[in-house]
Amino acid sequence: MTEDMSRYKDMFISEATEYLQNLNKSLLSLEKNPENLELLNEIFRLAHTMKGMAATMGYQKITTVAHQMEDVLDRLRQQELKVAPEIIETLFKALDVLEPLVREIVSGEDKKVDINEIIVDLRMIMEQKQPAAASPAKETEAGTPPDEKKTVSKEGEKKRAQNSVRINIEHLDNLMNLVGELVINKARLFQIGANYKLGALNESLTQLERITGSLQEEVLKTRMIPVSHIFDRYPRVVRDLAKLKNKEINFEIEGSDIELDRLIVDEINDPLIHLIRNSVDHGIETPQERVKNGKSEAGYVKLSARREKGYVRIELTDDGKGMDPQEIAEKAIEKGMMTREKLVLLTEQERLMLICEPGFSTAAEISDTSGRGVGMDVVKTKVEAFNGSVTIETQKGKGSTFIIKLPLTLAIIQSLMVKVAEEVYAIPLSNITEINSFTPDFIRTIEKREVIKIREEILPLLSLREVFDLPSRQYGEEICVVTVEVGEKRLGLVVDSIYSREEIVIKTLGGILKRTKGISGATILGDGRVVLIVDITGIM
Amino acid sequence: MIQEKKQEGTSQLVVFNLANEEYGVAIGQVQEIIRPQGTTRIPGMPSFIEGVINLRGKIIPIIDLRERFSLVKKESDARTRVVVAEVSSQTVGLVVDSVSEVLRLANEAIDPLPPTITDIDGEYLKGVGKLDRRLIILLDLEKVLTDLEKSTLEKINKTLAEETTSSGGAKKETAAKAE
Repeated sequence: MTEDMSRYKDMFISEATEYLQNLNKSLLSLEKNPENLELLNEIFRLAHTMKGMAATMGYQKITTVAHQMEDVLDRLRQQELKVAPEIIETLFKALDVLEPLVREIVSGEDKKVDINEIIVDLRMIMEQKQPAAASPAKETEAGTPPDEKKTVSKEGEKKRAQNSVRINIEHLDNLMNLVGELVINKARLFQIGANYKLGALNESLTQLERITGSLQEEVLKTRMIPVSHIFDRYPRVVRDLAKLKNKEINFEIEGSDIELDRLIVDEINDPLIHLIRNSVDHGIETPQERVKNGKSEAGYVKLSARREKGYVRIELTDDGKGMDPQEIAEKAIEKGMMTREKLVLLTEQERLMLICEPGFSTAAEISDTSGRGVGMDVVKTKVEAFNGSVTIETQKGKGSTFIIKLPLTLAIIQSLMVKVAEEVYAIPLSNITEINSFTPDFIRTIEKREVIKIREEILPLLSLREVFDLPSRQYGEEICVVTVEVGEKRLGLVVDSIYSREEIVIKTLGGILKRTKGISGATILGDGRVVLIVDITGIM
Repeated sequence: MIQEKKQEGTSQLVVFNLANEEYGVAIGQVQEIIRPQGTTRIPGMPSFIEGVINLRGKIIPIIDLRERFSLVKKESDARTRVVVAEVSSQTVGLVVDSVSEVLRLANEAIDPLPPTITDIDGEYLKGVGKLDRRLIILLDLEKVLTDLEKSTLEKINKTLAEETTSSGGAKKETAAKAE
């Protein structure tokens, strides 16, 4: 493929993915409102555009499937056919064929997705009633918008979609860098203004400061996308799984307009799908069981997102059977993950969190959707990789809630600047639990390691001078200890002094600096200096 | 990057000095030349990596070429420059004694390297350019960089191995050796 084509390929992939998502969403709505002609038109348009795009790019299989879908949809919207559950099911199936076909383009390998079956299925629908009308000769007519009358809200939605542009995240990072530089240079000009007592310069610089401030904010915003980007896929997931498990589930989504860093949104998809499947599969009981327990026949699952001071809180609630911390603990002992002695020390929440340990699964039987004992630990690891957290609330018989807290953005973090010898390092605030200072006689040595006792707890100490190959020094009057935490592990970092607290823009170190030990990245301070960020997980 | 229209059979070089010898690199690989600025040290790196600097919001590593080529150390002075090179999508700064000029060299004037011409490992030398009485050693920056990466990794792995040996007891030691 020529270079030009490959550029269009990326565009096709991202657009096709979006179209598939919209198709899924609209089909789901259609399933609920089979009489809605407007929806049908929308679906038809989507399938038509998809076909057109694929044909231009020369993707034969996608074109063929989309074309057949379009034919069926056209019959439906001409009301020559009635929207029946079987037809919707087949259309869903067609989408399931299209998805791997699009993925095939991404990976560049031919996975030999079989389209014959779906084509036959779609043709079968066409042959219901008037088989003569099944000719695909409606090309020209289909090209024009079939229905000009749309509701106002639909119109608005459409407009918004057309007003967006796809940008490679690299460009955004570059923009971020340049804005940062602007801020630094502005600071230098301020200095000159102060040195030469130029009042007028300072005045206009104040103006410039405001502009750079808003500019930085805007650039940051461009990295954010609404969670609907992934949330919109979930109704389909719930529907399919509920059908498979013969369960009835009302699925509700709230706050899908909440925005998060694009990278987080992409990465959080798999963990969320896992949680949703868990809720549907294990959380919600069968209708018979529910009725027996005095609950409504249909289960209720709700996914919500909302902003909370610097964080986004995503909650998945179900009204299923809930979990019992004691049962979980017993299971953990059975699996040899825990001893009874240790168990006594655990709080209820800690017992619940045992399900996030690798190799844990409470499902009695292994189904093909969940219960393989992988999963919850992956969910936790992934969320924590973004400095987020997972907590569980549950009540036996009433249901469970999984709460995921995520930072708004990966690009900016709060951090504590510490001085070690003559160097300054940044420690992410999210890892810090407390800062203390001690006199040296508090230090004890256990197995050649220095420790300190805080509130009856032993905290191992680690000198950052040692980590970063700096000359060690005798402890002075006071020792400054920054307590950091990753998961359940805690460590006291000995630093020379605390410097400041700042909001920093993270830059990753690439190339030959990729494998630097104890360093997760770097940042540039207001004065242009480069400061390294301590990789807390790495030095634990 | 704007590429100069190539004249038939010539290459355009940026020429710099390092310990009384002249070196040349292809101009297409050089992004810019800057004066040295304060670097931030990166712990645990081999000594030829001086540290990192902020180049208009981008963090790039600074490599001391004298140190890398095992030449005598020299304090930076008014003529010291950093050649910022972009090779295989990586940007690095190379500290050199001074940058003298940009010149064109006919391809016929480039000879393959006589085996014993410099102290530097022959691998990243492309040849020697002759111009009047001057000899310009042509560096292949891509090779220099991949080699840097290799030796950096080696150094990091070595420290890691040492650490496990010193702290981890006999078991880990044998494991490290087995690798």
